[in-house]
Amino acid sequence: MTATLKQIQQTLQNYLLDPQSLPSDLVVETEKVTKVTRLGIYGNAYRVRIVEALAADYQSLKIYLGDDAFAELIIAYIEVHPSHYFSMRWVGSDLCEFIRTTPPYCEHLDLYELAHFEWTLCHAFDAVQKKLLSANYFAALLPEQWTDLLLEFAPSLQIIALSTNTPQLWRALNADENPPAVVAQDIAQPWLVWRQQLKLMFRPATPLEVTALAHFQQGYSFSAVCELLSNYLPEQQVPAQAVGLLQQWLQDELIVAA
Amino acid sequence: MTMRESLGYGLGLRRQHYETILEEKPALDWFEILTENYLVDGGKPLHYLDRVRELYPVVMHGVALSIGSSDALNFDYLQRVKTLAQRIEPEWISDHLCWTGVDQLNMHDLLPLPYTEEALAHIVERVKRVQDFLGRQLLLENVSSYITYSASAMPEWEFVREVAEQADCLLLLDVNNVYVSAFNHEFDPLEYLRNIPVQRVRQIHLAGHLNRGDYLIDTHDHPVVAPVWELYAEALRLFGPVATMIERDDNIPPLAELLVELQQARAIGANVLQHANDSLLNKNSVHTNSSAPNNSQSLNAAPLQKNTAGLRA
Repeated sequence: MTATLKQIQQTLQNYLLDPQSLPSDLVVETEKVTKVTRLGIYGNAYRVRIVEALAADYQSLKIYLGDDAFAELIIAYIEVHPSHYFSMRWVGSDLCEFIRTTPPYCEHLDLYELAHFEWTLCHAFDAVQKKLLSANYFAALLPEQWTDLLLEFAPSLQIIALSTNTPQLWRALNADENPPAVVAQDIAQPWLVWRQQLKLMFRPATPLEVTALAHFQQGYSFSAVCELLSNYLPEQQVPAQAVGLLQQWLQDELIVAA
Repeated sequence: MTMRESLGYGLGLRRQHYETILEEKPALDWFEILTENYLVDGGKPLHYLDRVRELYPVVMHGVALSIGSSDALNFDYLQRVKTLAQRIEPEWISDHLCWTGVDQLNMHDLLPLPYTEEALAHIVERVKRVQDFLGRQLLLENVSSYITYSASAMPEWEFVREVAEQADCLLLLDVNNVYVSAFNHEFDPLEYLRNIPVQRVRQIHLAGHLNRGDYLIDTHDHPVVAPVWELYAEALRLFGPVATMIERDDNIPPLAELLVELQQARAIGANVLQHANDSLLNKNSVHTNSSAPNNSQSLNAAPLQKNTAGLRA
């Protein structure tokens, strides 16, 4: 019986996913080129193409690991997580989690954090750009408008907690410099990652800033966030702290129109 | 179907060239974008695309439609394509006559189809649905292939022609892919071209490939080779003026280098089309010399025969 389109496609795809499952009668060979060679072109291309695509998303991780070890990692990854995305843009979505949970990679926190940091940068890279609010907007607010004021942040903004000196490591690798020794801390340091116009930005944040930011993102009003800050600060310092954070966020181009 | 007008000569828009294009505004007629690279929410890709679009016509070229897959069509994807098309108003939208995955997986490769009646009917129905959804005719591109399925029951050109005619879609003829597949499957590339419906061909792709001795691989990382230029000339003799571009996806040189390569396409186009016009004038003249070369056959024969022999050597 003739194989259906679906059967033919499943047979070839199964071979791509598992090169051991070489189909016997799917294709014909020529005098010069055997079936194994012909199919092997596709089997090889499948892996090479994804390794190359993820090398663009995880450039520093690739330099850090070296070409061969990086390719080995990605091939192991796609065996467990074959792509179900229409675009290569998302194929690396589960790589961080794969590194975090799969031996021997999971034994190296620096690998996980570097991958996590780069994937966060990828999100910042192509997040939507919304209209920024300026200092003038806030200067024009009436006193009573501050009470219920809500803040919206740039969609590219992400908060990431890192226990190692990952940003320094990334910066060195990205600049083709020798990477610094990995230093791990007991307490993770929060970092803000975002995009300013077309430029990727990152900087460390204090726990207080992250608390305020996270609550604004959850829809807390300015007065509610100030009340929250009074749990961590002497009451008289709260207004200055809140205004200081707002100024910093404006300078960072983090606050956007709702 | 109306007579087409050629859009001229273009290049693929690549991020390595964004700044140069905006600064130097090079003399070329249009850019082709890889659709999926711009199906994002914001950032550099869309920023530069919008600016390039202000200066040049753009066509959209996708790799993820998977028109031949036995999976259901992905209308979420198609909606994104449609939204991007509304934003940049491309001259046309193309993708490949292939499949990229099945059972909800994506192999991210342009996998060849078995040329069967079942696949033909399946694809024709899907192309019609996609065209209805997008509200425009789709261009489908022939892919390079390295395997021939045991199940295939017709030559590739017949399959391509039938898809185009039955679904009423247009074609993006990749001349390099015809050349690569002709070598790999030992067919005559000219026979392929002669069986493609002339009025359906709206765009031509040219590219470089890798020669592995016993087979060729479509890599888009080298300049176009001489036999592909010859085949391109033959295609123009058959199809007349067709919008042409050079694809380079890897080992990407400075833009100036690609512009020089594109100049070669222009020169061939000018030469072939001038020759064809001269022939036409001769043919239409009352005093035509009956021995004068005045049709595409005499123009086709010599180089392609040589070409084919070379392919099979």
